[in-house]
Amino acid sequence: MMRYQKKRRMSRQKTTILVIGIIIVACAGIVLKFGIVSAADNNAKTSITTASANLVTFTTGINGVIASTDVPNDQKVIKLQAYVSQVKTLADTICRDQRSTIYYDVLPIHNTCEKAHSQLVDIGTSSAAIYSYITDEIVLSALLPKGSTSNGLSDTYDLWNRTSSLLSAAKVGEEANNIKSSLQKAVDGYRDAWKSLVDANSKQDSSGFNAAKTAVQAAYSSLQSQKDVSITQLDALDTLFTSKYSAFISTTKG
Amino acid sequence: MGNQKTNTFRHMRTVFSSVILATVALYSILTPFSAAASPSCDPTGSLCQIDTLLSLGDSMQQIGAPSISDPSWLKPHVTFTYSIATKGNITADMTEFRQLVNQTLNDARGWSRLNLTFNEVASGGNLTIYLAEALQMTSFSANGCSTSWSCTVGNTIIINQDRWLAATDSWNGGGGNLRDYRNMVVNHETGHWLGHNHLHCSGPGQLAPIMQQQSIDLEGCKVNPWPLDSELWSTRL
Ligand SMILES: [Zn+2]
Repeated sequence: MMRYQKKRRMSRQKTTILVIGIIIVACAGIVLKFGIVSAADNNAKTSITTASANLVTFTTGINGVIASTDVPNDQKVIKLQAYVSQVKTLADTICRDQRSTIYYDVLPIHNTCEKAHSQLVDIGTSSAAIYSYITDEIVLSALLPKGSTSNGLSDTYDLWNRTSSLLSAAKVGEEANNIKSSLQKAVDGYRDAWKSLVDANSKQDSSGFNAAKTAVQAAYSSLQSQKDVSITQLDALDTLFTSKYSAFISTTKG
Repeated sequence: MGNQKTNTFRHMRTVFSSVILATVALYSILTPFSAAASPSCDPTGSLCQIDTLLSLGDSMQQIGAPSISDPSWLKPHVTFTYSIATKGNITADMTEFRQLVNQTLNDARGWSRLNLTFNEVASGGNLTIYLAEALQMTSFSANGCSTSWSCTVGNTIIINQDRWLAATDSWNGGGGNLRDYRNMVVNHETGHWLGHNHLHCSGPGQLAPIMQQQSIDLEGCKVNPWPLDSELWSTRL
C-alpha cells in the first residue's frame, strides 16, 4: 500500500515537472517568436519607407534630366529607360527579406507590404509604357521624309506612297498602336490628295486640279496635327503613371 | 459729441469693409490667371515635361508646306516682247546670240512653262536684252552690275560678253558646257525680270535652282540651266 502511494506521488511530481517544462518552453517560444515577428515588422516598415524615399529621389533625378537643356533627347530617353529599371528593382526588393520568412503571413504590416509591392509593380509597368511609347514614336517619326518637297507632282506622290509603305511595315508596341494608325491615316490621306492632283494634271481638269490643291492643303494640316495627337496619347499614359505614383506615396505615408 | 463719434465709427467701418470686399474681389479675379500662368507639375511625384522627348513635332516641322504652282495648261497665255541690243566692242557672233536667246526664252524646259511666249521685236518691247562688253557693264548700274558678271536692271537684261564667250570657273569646274551656260545665264537674268531673287543650293548633289548664283559658286549642287518646278512663278503674271 505504502509502496503504491509512493509510486503515485512520484508520478504526479513527474507530470508537474513535465507540465512546468512545457509551459516554460512555450513561453520562451512565444517571447522569442514575438521578438522575431516584431523585428521583422519593423524591418518591413523601414523597407517601405526606404523604397518610398528612393522612388522620390529617382523621380526627381529623371525630372532633372528631362528638364536639362544640356542633355540631348536621345540621352534623355536612355536615362528614362534606366529610371524604369530602377523602379522595377524597387518593386522586386520592397519587403523582400520579410516576404521570404515563414512569419510573413502573421506580420501586422503584411497587408501594407503586399499593397506597396503591387503598387510599385504598377508604377514600373506604367513608366515602362511611357518609355515604350516614346521610343516607338521616335521610330515612326524617323520614317517621315525630311526637307522641302519641291519636286514634281508625281515625285511627291511617290515619296508619300513610299512613306505610307514604310509606316505599314513598322512594328510598334501596343502603347503606340493608336498613334501609328492615326499617323498612317494622315499620311495615306496626304498621299491620296497628291494622287488626285497628279490625275487632274494629266487629264488637264482645271476644277479637279483646284479641288485637289485644296485637298492637299487640308491633308497637310491634318498631317501636321499628328504631333498634337501624339502629345495627347502620351499625356494619357503620364496621367496613369501619376495616379499610380500618388497611390503608392499615400500608402507608404499612411 | 457722442453722436458724432458714432457716425465717424460707422464711416470707418464702411470704408474698412469696402477695402476688404475689394481685396477679396481682386484676389478671386487674379487667382485663376496666376494659377494658369504657372502650370504645376511636382517633380517629386510626376514625370514633368515628358512631352519634350517626343519627336513627331520636329519631324512635322521638317516636312515643307506644299507649294503647288499651277501647271502651264491652267494659266492664261501671256506674250512678252523683247528687243536685242549691244554696247561696247562686241566680238561675239550676234546671229548666234539672237537665236540662242530666243530658243532659251521659248524652250519647253524654261520660263515658257508659265504659259509664256517671248517675241523678238526690232526695238523697245517689254524687255531689252543687251550683249555688252565687260568694261561697259557698270555703265548700266554702278552698284548693281560689275565687269565680272551679267546683271538685270529694271526692264534691261545685260549679258556680259566675257561670260557669254567663256562661262565661269565655277560652271566649267562643275562639268557644265558653254551651250548650257548660255541657257543658264539668259534664264537666270530673265528670272530676275520675272520677279525672282537669289536662292541657294538645297543640298549636296541636288540640281541647282536657276536663281542660285551658279556662275560664282555651285555650293555642292549640280549645274542646272533651267528653272526648277518650285521656281515656276512670276510677279509679272
Ligand atoms: Zn542674279
